[in-house]
Amino acid sequence: MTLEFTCSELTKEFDSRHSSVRAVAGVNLEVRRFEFLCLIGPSGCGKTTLLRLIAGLIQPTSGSISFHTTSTPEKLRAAMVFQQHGLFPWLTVLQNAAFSLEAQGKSRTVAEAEAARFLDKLGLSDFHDNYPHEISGGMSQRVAIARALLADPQILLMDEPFGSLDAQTRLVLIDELLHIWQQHRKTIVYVTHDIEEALMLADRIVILSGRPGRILESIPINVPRPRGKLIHTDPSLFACYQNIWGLIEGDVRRDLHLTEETE
Amino acid sequence: MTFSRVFKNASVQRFILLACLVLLWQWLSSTERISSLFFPAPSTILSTLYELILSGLLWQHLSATMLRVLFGLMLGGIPAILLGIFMGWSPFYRTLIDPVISAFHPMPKVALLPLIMIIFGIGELSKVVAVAIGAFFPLMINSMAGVAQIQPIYFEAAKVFKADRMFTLRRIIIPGSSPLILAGFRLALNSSVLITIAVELVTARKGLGALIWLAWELFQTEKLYAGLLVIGLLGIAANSLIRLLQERLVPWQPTKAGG
Repeated sequence: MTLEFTCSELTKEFDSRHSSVRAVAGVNLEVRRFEFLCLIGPSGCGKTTLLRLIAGLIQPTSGSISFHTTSTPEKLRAAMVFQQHGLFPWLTVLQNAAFSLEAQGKSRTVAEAEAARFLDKLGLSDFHDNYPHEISGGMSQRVAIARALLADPQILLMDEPFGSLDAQTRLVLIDELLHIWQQHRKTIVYVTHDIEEALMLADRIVILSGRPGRILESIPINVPRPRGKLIHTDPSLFACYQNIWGLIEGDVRRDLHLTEETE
Repeated sequence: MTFSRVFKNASVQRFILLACLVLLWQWLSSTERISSLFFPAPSTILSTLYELILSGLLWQHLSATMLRVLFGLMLGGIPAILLGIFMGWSPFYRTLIDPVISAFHPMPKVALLPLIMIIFGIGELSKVVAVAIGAFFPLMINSMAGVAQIQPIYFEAAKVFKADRMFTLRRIIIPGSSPLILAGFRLALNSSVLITIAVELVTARKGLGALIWLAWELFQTEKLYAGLLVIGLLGIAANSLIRLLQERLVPWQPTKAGG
């Protein structure tokens, strides 16, 4: 088993005017190469902060992340798919997809040719020249995934990429993402607050507590994919669901100032 | 059927209203129901304009005005955009320079003209400098705001893909701020025309402002109106130019209905 990266005692505090807020506290996490890892937790638990730390967008207050990379240094380590509005509104679908290649120093013509081929494979050939506001949210996220994959990163970081989409669209895109993941062999860290989504996608689900985010538990999911039809029938998936909800529910209720359920 | 539909078209209606007003004016003036000295008939104004065109005089005045607008815009506008983008990009310099800008901005720029003439003399340079100062502020402030309002997520996306500063400038800063820079350009163009005319009223011998001032001095009202007409048309041309630039430079903005 090869490791992709290791977080040790990772802590991030944000300074506000009078105090500092701990978003992530003492996270220890080992992620395997080509693993599909889902991070789940109540809203505001520091999932996104953890993802941004891994992406290198922010620096930890203490602790460290070490990447056990074997590839060449010029290769992109991690690419990110943002929650929504991650595409540049002033670039066409094709220019958006080609952005990651151009940023890497490829010429515009080469980048756009490569991006066009990839978009065609995803069935987006009719939308090369459309601007993001002209296509649906689901399509936007597929373009965002294309942009990230074109950079050919070791790790794909996804921050609730389907969070703003309707349930049916999400189901279809989950299938497509799994397909892509199997084809391209990436390590994926996928943040979500949706337990069912995590159960359908993950090799392993890591549950974070409410603020500050700590790892409560790490649950491997060994049910074969696709799991869409099993999600409500398979007893082990159901047990996982119960288990995860049991861990999160308290935090969610506390956030809403609801008293503990009494039966 | 189609005939009545033509009349329901808003621009047709506007044209008809305008035509009626001009005809009314023509009738009132030519029958001396209103003083043709103050309000010469549109036909008189047009024939005066025609003479001005034929004699080449109009072109001399018009080109003088347009050159001042052009040079003033370049002298004030180019540093305004560069400085604005720089300040929008760097919060440190923004907070440093912003108070200075805010202090100068509300001052009506025409009021600076005497001072500018003391410093730069009464020649062409002081006119262009006055226009440049008027063009500088709206463009500078809009360029700064244009960059500052770009959502942080776009910079993060650039950072994730390891885009360098030049590429970020080309692919994010410039296109992302261009709607507001264009809005600033519209303000700068309007204020450039305004200041040019004002300056010409006071100091110039050539230019549309000088033309109408001279017409006033000689009490040639029809010439004065002809000058005003050309200034009005210049304003319309400026606005069409802006619209053209908008279609060309920001095709990605959702078009507003009726826009």
